Amino acid sequence: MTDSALPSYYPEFYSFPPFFTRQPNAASWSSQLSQWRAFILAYCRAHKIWRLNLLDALDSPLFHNKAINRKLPLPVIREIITDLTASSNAEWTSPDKSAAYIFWRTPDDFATLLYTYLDDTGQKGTVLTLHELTDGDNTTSQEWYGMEQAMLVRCLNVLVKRGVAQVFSVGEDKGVKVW
Amino acid sequence: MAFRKLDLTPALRPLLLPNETLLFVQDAVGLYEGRYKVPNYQNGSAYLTTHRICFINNDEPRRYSAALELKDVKKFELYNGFLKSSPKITLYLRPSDPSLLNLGGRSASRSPTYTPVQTPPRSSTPSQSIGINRQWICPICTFPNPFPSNFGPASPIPPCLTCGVKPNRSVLDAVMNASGPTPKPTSQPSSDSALLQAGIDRSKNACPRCTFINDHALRNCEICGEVLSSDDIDESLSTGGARSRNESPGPAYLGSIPPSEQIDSVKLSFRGGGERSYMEKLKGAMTQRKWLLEQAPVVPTITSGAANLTLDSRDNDPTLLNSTPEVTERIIGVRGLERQSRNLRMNNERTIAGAFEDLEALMSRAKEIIALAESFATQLSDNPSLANSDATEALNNSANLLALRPTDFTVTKDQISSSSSTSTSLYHAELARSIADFLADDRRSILKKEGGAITLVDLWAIYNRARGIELISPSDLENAAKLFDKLQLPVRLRQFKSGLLVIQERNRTDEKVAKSVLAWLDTLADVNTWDLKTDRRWGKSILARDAAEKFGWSIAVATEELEMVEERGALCREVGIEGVRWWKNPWMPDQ
Repeated sequence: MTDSALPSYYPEFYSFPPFFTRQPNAASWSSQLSQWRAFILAYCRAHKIWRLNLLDALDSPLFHNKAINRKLPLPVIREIITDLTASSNAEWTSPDKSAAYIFWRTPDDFATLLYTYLDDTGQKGTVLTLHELTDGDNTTSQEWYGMEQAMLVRCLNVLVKRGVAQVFSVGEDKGVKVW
Repeated sequence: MAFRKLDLTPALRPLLLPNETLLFVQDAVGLYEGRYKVPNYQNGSAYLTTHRICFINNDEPRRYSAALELKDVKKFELYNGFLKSSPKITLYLRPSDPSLLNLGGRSASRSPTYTPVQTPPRSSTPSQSIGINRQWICPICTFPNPFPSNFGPASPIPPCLTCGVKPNRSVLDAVMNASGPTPKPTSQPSSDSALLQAGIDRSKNACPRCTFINDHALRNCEICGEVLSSDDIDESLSTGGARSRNESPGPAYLGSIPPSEQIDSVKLSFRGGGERSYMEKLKGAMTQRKWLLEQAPVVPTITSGAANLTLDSRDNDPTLLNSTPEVTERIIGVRGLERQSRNLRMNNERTIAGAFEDLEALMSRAKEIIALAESFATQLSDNPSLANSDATEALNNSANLLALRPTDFTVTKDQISSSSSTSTSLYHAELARSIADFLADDRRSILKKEGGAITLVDLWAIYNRARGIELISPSDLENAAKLFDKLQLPVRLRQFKSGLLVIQERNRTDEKVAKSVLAWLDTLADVNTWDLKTDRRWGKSILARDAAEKFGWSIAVATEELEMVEERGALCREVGIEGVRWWKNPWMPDQ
């Protein structure tokens, strides 16, 4: 098996067996960790995975290289995701750390993207539902399309903090107004 | 010269002669020649062996070590020490060695470092420096009393040691005013002793005290023991203080002794105690006189016993009837060869039977038995049918073990004095030295076989096996191993991250190990990869057991070494079902 068969976001180390073992050597581990971080984010982005359920992901190609029959153990995955949360690239959905939201862009970046989009499309001052933003017909080409609502709220809160948006409830749904 | 050069082992212990055994060791010992301390020989260990007394300086063992043959020792006595004076053992040397008393060779040498034990205080009296060896003769009982070293015009007159009567001051003045250790005709011919000496014909080397005319070569009067002197000695004495030697070239000139001093004794000063046990062992060694064994006729060997046997059996065995006397004369053809080997076998049988009869015999026959075992071993390995059998290996091993002279490596607690407070640490130090010697021994090359590192546990087993008796405890071994660094031995104790203790050669560094492992990995990369699914560009991986096999390490050592290399960043690991696999680390930028 060669790398050419794999999409480009797979790192070259994907075929290196020690890649699937946490290196005790601090220097090695920091390189290994950064490679894993980049790989997880790229993988989720390519597969549009917003919420990563660790148990399900264990056997996915992300953590399991079937070609060389190597798996990344769960505790190591947890360690890497925890490291991702430190840089706002991930967020545990629950305290038991069984699943995590993966922000392949940080909430700040998404907020900027959203604001630019709304500005470009002249929707400033209009009230939009969150559903419209994540699943509307107009946003299919946008990066946040299909994003979980909880994550979107996280991104919109950044805008609220910047003082350019307001989030409010419209019945069961939530709405947002940007100005 | 009483002292001889001493060869040291790599571990800085005395190199023993064949048949020589170590009996005792005492540290904190200083050396005296006659009454004078020998410079640079004041803090060391005194090894007592069956043949010698070896002194090894603690700080510069290679430069300052010397041996004294016990056969040169005439008698010895113990001085118990008094106040600040340490206990000493005085060894009186046999004057039969002509070089021992030949003072002429070094009469002029008087280095500035020389320090007499009882240096007379420098007072105003100019003549006091020559008062050391002088005597005054009691006019009452004629006993020669020692001249008081700090005698001056104002000092009180000492009484005679024998009769207790104080002499007339003029008697002492006469001696003091004499111009040398041996009075010459003086300017005061009025005194009794001066008058006496004036009449002596000095050219014939006459004794100044009893007037006996001695041989020229003699240094002491044959009759009364008075120190004789001649003009050249006097001259050297007067000029000797100005001359100096740059440095002692070696043990050949241990110290610099004033020419007037006659060196027929050597003292060991026991500053740390332990003189009694040393004395006892010395007594034992002097009584046994093991050094005589070398010249002694060889103990009747088994061969003679075997000859008796053949004589007995000759009557029954017709083939042997006329063979025995001719064995040495001629051996012809196959039959002769057969006969020769049969005789040999018979001898061997006798040897073995005789040796194992009782332990005593075994000890005395040890050498023969070892030689036999070795010859059996070579015979076995030559024999192709047995070449691969376990028996060969077992026999080889046992032969190897026997071939080791256990005495070389055996330090026991009773060789170390128990009186001194530092005895346990001295014991450990000696043990450390003996272990270092054991490891450095070429015949066994233990460290080489173990790939340069041996775990403490393995060493304990091997070492105790080599000792056979007087086994040491693991804690003693550990304590001894901890002293390797302090004693500057060629091996060192190393603790791995996990706590595993190994002993390795001093020059073996982590860097070297890492380099050799990496080089080995590179050569392996050319071979077909073990796992075809793995990408070739990652090179080959190894298990700890592969490394153990390659470098001769034990598995534990191999694991630790690989982890050490990982720590340095050259390797990375992969934990799989078969254990930890090791790969070259591609994450390190410098690799």
